[in-house]
Amino acid sequence: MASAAQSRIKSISYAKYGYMFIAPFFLVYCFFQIWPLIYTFILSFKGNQSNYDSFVGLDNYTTILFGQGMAAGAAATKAEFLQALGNTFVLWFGNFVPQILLSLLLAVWFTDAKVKLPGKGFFKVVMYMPNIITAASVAALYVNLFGDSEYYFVNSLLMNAGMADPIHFVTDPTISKIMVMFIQTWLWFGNTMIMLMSGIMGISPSLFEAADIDGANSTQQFFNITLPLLQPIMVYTLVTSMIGGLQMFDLPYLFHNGAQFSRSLETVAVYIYYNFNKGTVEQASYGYAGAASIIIFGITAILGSVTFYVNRDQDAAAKKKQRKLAEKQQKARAKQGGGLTI
Amino acid sequence: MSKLKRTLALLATLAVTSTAFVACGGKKEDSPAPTPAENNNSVADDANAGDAGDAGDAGDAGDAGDAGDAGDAGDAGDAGNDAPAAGGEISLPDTDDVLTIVCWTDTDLNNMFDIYTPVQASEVKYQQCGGNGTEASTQYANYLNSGDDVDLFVAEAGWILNYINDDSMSAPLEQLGISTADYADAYQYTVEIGTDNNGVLKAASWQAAAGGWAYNADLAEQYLGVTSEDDMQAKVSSWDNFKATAEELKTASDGAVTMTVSLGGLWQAFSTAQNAAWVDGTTINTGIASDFVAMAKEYVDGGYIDPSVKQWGTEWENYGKDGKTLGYFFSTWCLGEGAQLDTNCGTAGNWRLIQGPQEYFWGGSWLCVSPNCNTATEAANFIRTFTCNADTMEEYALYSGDFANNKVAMNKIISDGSNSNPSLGGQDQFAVLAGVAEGIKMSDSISKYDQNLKDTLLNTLFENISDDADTILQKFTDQALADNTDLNA
Repeated sequence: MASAAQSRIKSISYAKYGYMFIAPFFLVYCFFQIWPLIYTFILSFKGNQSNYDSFVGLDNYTTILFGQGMAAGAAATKAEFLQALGNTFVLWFGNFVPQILLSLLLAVWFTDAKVKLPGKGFFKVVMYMPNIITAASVAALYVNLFGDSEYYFVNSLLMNAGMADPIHFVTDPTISKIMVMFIQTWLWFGNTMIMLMSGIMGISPSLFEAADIDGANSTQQFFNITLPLLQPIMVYTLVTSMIGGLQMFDLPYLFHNGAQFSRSLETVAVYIYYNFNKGTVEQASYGYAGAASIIIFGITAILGSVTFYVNRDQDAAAKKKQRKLAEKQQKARAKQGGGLTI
Repeated sequence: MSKLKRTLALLATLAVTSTAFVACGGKKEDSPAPTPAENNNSVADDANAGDAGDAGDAGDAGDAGDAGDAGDAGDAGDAGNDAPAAGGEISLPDTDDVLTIVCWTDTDLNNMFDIYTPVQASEVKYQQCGGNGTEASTQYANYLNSGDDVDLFVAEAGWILNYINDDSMSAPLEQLGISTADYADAYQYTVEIGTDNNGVLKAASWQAAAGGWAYNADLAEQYLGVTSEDDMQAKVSSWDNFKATAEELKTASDGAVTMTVSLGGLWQAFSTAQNAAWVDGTTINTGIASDFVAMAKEYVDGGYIDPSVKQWGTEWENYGKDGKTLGYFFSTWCLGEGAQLDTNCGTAGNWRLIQGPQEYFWGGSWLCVSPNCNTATEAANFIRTFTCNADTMEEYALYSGDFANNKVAMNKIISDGSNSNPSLGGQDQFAVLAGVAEGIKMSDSISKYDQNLKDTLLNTLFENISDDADTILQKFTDQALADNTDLNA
């Protein structure tokens, strides 16, 4: 029998202090994360411009995906959004592939004990450096270096060297895309390289030594040891880069000549920002912007799941399946034995 | 002890939470634009502290070096103080002593505050919103909704209707004691545009944005053999003549010099000639666009304009300096000291202004009052000084080179011959522009979609100039409809 004091102590719970201390996080989280997320959903079901306050159901979705909606420009809106989506994938793919190849190559070189590269530390720092400059500055830098006419550095150099007409690095639809891909690669390959290096250094050196002794050359080592064991880091890089790539905004938005962004570089994020930020509520298209946000959210979720599914540890999954099957069989047997566990 | 610890921890978490929400408040700390009036602050303060009615003296003390200025500052003060008797009551409050003006360029305001001394306000703040008119048209909404201090804001013709027809954005000028009757000498279109859909005067302009064509007289003489402004005007007096001269110039210079610098400039002159609104009810008037696309193709294909030059861009600036173009379409606000004429052409060649192929107007800025205006007396003084008062407006026109929105003041300057523009070799640009300003009819052809449609058209042309005219027009229509869900084509 517990004394009165004991039962009183028992009833004291310190949990409430715990809740109090974690409350700020949840408060801020709800206010700045959950509510905007929900509100984006709500906005995606509301109208645009002068119609901004009325509920229009799925009209925004049908408009930007299928070109069928209330507005006269529904087909054009669809075309613009799909163009933006296409640009997003092209720009992401065009910077991810060269970036991962370059980073992988450099990471292997930098971590290979046999390649005695001088000044490794220096190069690592230099290659990581672009990543610490804000994209806005980088865009300004490149626009001023690669401007469209002889008044800018690169073109003046080329034209002094005998070229007749300036190259339109900033405004030509194709060249400007290549420029943005290049800048993105240049910005991010250092970061990816560091990530992959840490992955490679996590691989046990004894594996490489054993392979050496067995006579495997460096190509065989790369494809049979480094690459398979690097898979988790590669998946991580792929997923983060994909999420970042689908939300690519700063460079495509800022790499232009004049007051407005280039339509040929319009990504989904730029589309969302542009429609959201056209001025007063009667000018802005909140509905389209909201619907586009939700669509890109869905695409990201689907692509992310697919990536994880494809890259899941198949051995582990198979083992888990086997274990479950075994448990099931055991249970069935137990039932047969009159409910007695043997 | 543990209770104390708990309390401290709780306090700390509360502090963290509250700082997380700080960002939700205003952003008063935004670095204010340098205030030209600061030099006069102490003087203005003295005037406040002493006798507001004696503001004239304060002005004298402040600008003792310049008798003309001082007198006018005094007038301005008096005008403000007499305002309630002359006009209506000032019904907005006077609780703040910082006059905040939202704008996207402070060139005009700097000129104004060079000749105007605030009487009530101790400080004048320019709040920059956007780097150009297009950006401002979208960024104002955010700023005006943010709850930060704003007394007046500057709006441009292309998008002013979005703001004056929204009572949460703008207040009637009547609340500052200013009425339509105060604008008897103003160019009428400025008053019509400043009036909202309900017939309430919401905005007043200090300028009549008449435009002309500035040309490099040296190049004109070299390639066209033209030596006087009248001869040049004769060569470009109509669009047909303009094109013929462009062809002549191209042949004579072997394509080295273009007739005019950008499609953006050509658009301004061209669009006036249409004398039709961009939007008819809810239908886009694509006739305007198709005519201009045809014209643009003609000029670009003919080699009269370099299509890669974007309005206001680096090339746009340098083509004048480097003698690669004969002329610019310039509005009045391009002609002052430090404005575009000065920076692009002032130091190179010998520039002159003529009317050009088409009487036209371009832009123009209006002063609007925020419903949250809390420096009412000063705001009223300021608006009166630069939009109603012929004396100060004459002074402003002479000082800034801007065509002031006051017929009496401008006619006086022209008849006195008191203005000469050093960038135009001493020419009086007002004499050229006066006829244009009289004829501006703008009010029935502007719509709240103008800025967007114009930007869309020019951007589409810029990005797709190598396509054929039909494709460009289709792209423009698509973009315009995608951007404006209320419209159809």
